[in-house]
Order: sequence, then C-alpha cells, then structure tokens
Amino acid sequence: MNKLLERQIAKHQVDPEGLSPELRSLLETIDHSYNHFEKDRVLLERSIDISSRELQEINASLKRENEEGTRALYEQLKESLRLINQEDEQVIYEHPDYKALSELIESLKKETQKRKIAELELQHSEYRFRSLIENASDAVIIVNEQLEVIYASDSLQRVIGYTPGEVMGLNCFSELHPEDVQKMEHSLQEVLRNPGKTIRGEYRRKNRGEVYVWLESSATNLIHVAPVGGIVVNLRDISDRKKAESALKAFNEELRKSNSELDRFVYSVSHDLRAPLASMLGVISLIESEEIDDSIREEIDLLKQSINRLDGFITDILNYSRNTRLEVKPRKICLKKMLTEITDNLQYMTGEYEKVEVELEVDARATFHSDPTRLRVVFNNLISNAIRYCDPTKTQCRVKLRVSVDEHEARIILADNGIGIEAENQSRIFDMFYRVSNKSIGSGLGLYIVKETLDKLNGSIQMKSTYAKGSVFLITLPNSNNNKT
Amino acid sequence: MCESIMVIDDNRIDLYVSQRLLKKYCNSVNVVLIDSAREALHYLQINSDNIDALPDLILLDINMPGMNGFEFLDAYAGLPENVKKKCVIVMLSTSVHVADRTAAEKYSYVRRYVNKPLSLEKLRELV
Repeated sequence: MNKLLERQIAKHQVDPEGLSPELRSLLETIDHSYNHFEKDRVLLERSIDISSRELQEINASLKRENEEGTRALYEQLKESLRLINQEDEQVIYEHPDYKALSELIESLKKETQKRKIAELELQHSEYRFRSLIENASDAVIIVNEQLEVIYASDSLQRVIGYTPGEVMGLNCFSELHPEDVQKMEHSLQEVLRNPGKTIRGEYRRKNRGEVYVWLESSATNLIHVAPVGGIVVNLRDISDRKKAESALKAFNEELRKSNSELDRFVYSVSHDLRAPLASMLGVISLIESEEIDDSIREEIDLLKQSINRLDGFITDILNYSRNTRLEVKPRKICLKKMLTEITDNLQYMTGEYEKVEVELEVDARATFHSDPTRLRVVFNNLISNAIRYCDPTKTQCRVKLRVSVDEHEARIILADNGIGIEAENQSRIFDMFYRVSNKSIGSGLGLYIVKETLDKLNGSIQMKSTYAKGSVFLITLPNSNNNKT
Repeated sequence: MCESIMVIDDNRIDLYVSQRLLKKYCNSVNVVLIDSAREALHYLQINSDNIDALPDLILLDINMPGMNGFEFLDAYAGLPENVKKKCVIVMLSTSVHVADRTAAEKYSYVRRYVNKPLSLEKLRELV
C-alpha cells in the first residue's frame, strides 16, 4: 500500500479488515491512483529539473557571448577615438562593416582638426586684441545704459590714474569739470540716439591726483549688439594738445597785435614823412602863383618833381606794407564808380585834364566783390602810369578802360596809346625797383606792388606793348561773392 | 562869396600858405588862422551870437595834436544851430586813407574832403 494512504488510514483509525468489500475495493483504487500520481510527480520533477538546468546553460552562454561582443565594440570605439586624435595616421578599415565607420572617423578627424585650429586662432586673436587694448596709450571702457562702467582696460591707469578695479560699476560722468557737464550730456543723448555711430567729445575730468585732465572721447553705442551690450568709449589724454592749442592761440593773438601795431607804426611814420612834403608843395604852389622869372619857375618845377617823387615813394612803401600784412576783406564794389573816381582824381591832381582822354566802358553781369583798398592801389598805379607815360607826339593821348564782370571774375582791359615799352624791357617791368630809364618819374615800385597785390587777391595781370605805339594791360580778378574767405 | 574864412591847422607853414593863397584868390577876404582845434571851438562858442564874426568857410586839418579834426567835428555838432548854418567845413589832409575820407563824409556839415597841398585850382573848385 501507498505510504501516504497508509498514514492517512492510520490517522483516521480506519481498520481496512473491518470494511465492506466495496470500500476495500475503493481503497485499492485510491491506492493505485496515489501510486500513479507519485510516479507522475517524480517524472515531472525530473523533467523540470532538466529544463531548469538547460535554461541555466543557455543563460550562461548568452551572457558570455554578450560580454565578448560588448568588449569588442568597446575596444573598437577606444581605438577609433585614439585614431581620431591622431593627426597623421589615416584610418582605413577593410572590412565592409567597418567601411562606413572609417569614413565617419575620417570626417570626425577633419572636424576636430579644424576646430582645434579655429580654437587656436581664436586664442591668438583674443590675445592680440587684449594686448592691443591693454598696451595702447588710450583707455577703452565700456559702460552700460545707466552709464556704469562694466569694463575698463588696464591702460585706464595711464590716462586717469585709476585701475579698472577702482572704477568698475561707477558712473562714468563722475568727476567731470562743471563747465563741461552740459555739453557732455548733449553728447550722450546723441550717442544714445545713434547706435553704431562714433561720436567725439572733449571734456575735463579729475584724475587720481585731483587734477583736471583734458580727455578726448570717442563713443559708440553698441548696447544692442549682444556680445558688447554697452557703449564703447575710447579715451585719450589730450592735455598736451590742449596746451599746444592754447599756446598757438595766444601766439596768434600776439602776432595779430604786433601786426596791428606795426601797421599803425608804418601808417604813422608815412604820414609824418608826407606831411612836410605836402607843406613844401604848398609853398611851391604859392611861389608858382607869383610873378617870377622863367628860370626860377623852372627850378621850382624841378623841386616839385623831386618832392612828388619822394611822396610817391613813401605812398608806395605804405601800400606795399599794407598789402602784405592786412587781411583781404571782400566788399561789394562798383567798378565803374571806383575807376571814374580814380581817373578823375589823378587827372585833377596831375593837372592833366586836357592832356589825356579817358574812356570807360563797363559791362557788369553780376555784382562784384573784392578788397576795395587793394583794388584802388592797383588801379591808381596803372592809370597814373598810363597818364604819365602818354606820348606827347600823338594828336590825342587816350586811355581806354574796358571792364566786364560776371559771377566768377572781373576782367579789366587798360589800353593806352602812350610811349609803350621796348621788347627787351618788357619782362622786367614787374620787378621791384625796376625803372625803364633814369628819367622815369616813378619809384620803380608801382608795377611791383600791382603784381603783389593782384597775387594776394588771386588775380592776374598780363601786358602787351609796342614801343611808341602803346600798351595794353589785362587784369583778371576773382569775384568773391560766392566764397566769403 | 566868401567874406570870412577860418583855417584850422597845427602846421605853421601850411597856415601861412593857406593864408597867402586865399588872399591871392580874393584880396578882400578876411582870413582867421587858428593853430589848435580847441581854440577854434572856443572862438566859435564865444562868437555864436555874433554872426559877422563867424566864418563862412572853415578849412579843417585832420591830423593835429591834442584835438584832431574828427574830434573837432564831434564837438562841433554840439555848437548852436546858427553857427552850423553859417559855417561850411572843408577837410584838408595829406591822408589818402580811404577810411578817413569815408569818415569825413559821414558828417553832414562837411562839404568836401580835399587833399593837401592846397592850390589855386583847388580853391577855385571849392569856392
């Protein structure tokens, strides 16, 4: 009998002998079943055992395979990385599976190299710029919208004595000279209104030593340019320049004063020289009006000539001095009026009314602006020459003046039928102190002064002459009505 | 026309020449010579009521020490009307400075501006 059944029967105190034949047969069946179940169970256990062992084996082998594969891959990658960082070795995998990998590695290598080069260049570039900024004599600062310093170069110390650390976060307009505050506020507004534009300014600021220094600032608003994010200001110490400027100004002022004094001196001297001459001429005039011998009259006339000569010379010197020194002051001029005045005056003064006939023609298409004093000198000299050197052998001495004015220039043609100038002398007539002959009344300065004066006015003079026939002078003068200089 | 002419000039010679010329031009003319502008003003002042003593023509020099011709003209403006109405002023000068001429022309009672030296022709023109 099955052991389990046995136990169960004993437990329940069942006597198999006392049972009915049907119950005894049932017990036998149960016994068989128990034994069958037992056998089945054992078989099942054994088969589970086998399966379990098999699974274990499979697991282990899978694990092993996995590890080997991973390690292989790992090794590949390690190798690949090494090769990528190696610049000279080229990587070629023969195996088709690895061909794509080798191409990838090659391209990764190239990228890495490029990046390395770029990084190096960037480093160099940064270094270069930094050393430029740090070593420049100018200071560079960057301020934010609230005008607080967010960067300052080391060179700031050279310019205002403060190190970058000492000014970080401070308002850049602190310690400004009170007189410069308003103009720098305006300048600031302009900078803020014009991003990207460089605006210059000059102002004084107290440096570390409590002394005001003159600075020139060039500010560019780059607030909206991301990497910068502020206003970039270049500061330059211009104390030396300012000193030089004010020294120059002072020197110019002195020069102007001394020029003015010299001018007054020349004028005063020339006047004091000419007054006695005028007196002498007055007395001579008196004598001439008396009843006197012809010989005395002749001698008196010689006296008069000498005096006139001296007087003319002094006038010439005065004109020369003023031409060189005085500023050109353009004014509106009526050439017709000026020339008429001068001609009338000359004829009157020399008493040559009947002797010389003067014709004046003016064609003015624009108003004429030039320096009146200098023009008078030019015309006086030329017209008096024309009158003086007229040819008494001709029936009528004539002087023709043709003037034309347009908006660019004035052209004056002065033609006479006087004694003319010999060909070999013509090139020298504008020379200083050149006189054609000893008999010449003039000082020799007249035409020289004319030329100098015209040069000063940016004009020109040309001359054509035929001995015994006459002379023609062509004068051109720029019209200063467009450019007031 | 001219009965009385006053010449104001600091230069003795010029005064002499003027006087001689004036007399030559018209023998009957009464010439008053004064060598200082201040004195001339004083004279005109004290004679402002005496119309006969006032000159018809005044020849005035520009460059004089003390008070010059222009300063005289400025002070002249302050003289009584009847003086200014009677006297005609002509300026005499050696100056060829245009500025002097223009300045003289600004004064309404200056009739002419003449360059020294004076001569008979110039006198004829003036008078």
